[in-house]
Amino acid sequence: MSDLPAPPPPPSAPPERFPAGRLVLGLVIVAIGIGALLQVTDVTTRAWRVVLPGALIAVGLGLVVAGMRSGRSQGGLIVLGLVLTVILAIAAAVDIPLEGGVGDRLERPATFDRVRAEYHLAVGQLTLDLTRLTGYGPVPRHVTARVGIGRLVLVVPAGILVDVRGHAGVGDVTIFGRSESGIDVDNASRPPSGASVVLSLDLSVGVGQVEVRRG
Amino acid sequence: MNRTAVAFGAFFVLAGVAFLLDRLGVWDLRSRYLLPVLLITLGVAILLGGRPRERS
Repeated sequence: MSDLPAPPPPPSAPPERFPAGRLVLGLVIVAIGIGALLQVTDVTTRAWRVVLPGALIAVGLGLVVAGMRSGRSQGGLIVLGLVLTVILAIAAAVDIPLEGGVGDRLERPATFDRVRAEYHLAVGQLTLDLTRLTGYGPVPRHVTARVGIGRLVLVVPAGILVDVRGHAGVGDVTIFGRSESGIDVDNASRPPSGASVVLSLDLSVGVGQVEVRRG
Repeated sequence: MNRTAVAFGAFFVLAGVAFLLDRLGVWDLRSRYLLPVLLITLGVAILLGGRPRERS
């Protein structure tokens, strides 16, 4: 028999690390990149509707999987999830559309047929100048314009009847010189009943100003 | 198992689905209800995620 001590047991392999943080962060960045690419190539601006909520769901699933597989702290993912939750909660509370791009945009349709049903801008100033319009149709055209954060300016031609409703989550709404301001602000200019309305306009900003004036 | 991570993860998944439905116009999140519901859900997530005390 040998007096040599028994060899020590081999060190146990370190617990497998599940790279949830890196995996989810990579997925979130890829998703945001795809959303940005779709926007700059004018394929669609509506991808933002699903990108940020999808990123939050991905973070949540990553946390659940990582939490069940290991006891390691996932502080980075929790912070990322909280940041996304706050952004989406603010966007939902003041109704900020996260679509339509960023910057200043001027829309000046020349004919009634070229007026789109919807205009969207995420951040910046959107000016919708309708003073060059010709060829009004017999049926009033309904137009919706929304700006997330910034300013929405609508210039309507003199001499036509319009039905305007303006809303601001936070900010002010000025319609033909009459202004309302504060939180969850509504303002409107309704024509007399029975009048032949040419345009029916539904305007809103999340945070900022809505201004409607005659050109 | 990290119960805190699982609880926060479940909260984020539910919140993400709610925001997604709101963005797609399926469900309208009312701003006056949003903050209280978020606070309640976050509080429940923290309560469920708390580690039980070990007996000495």
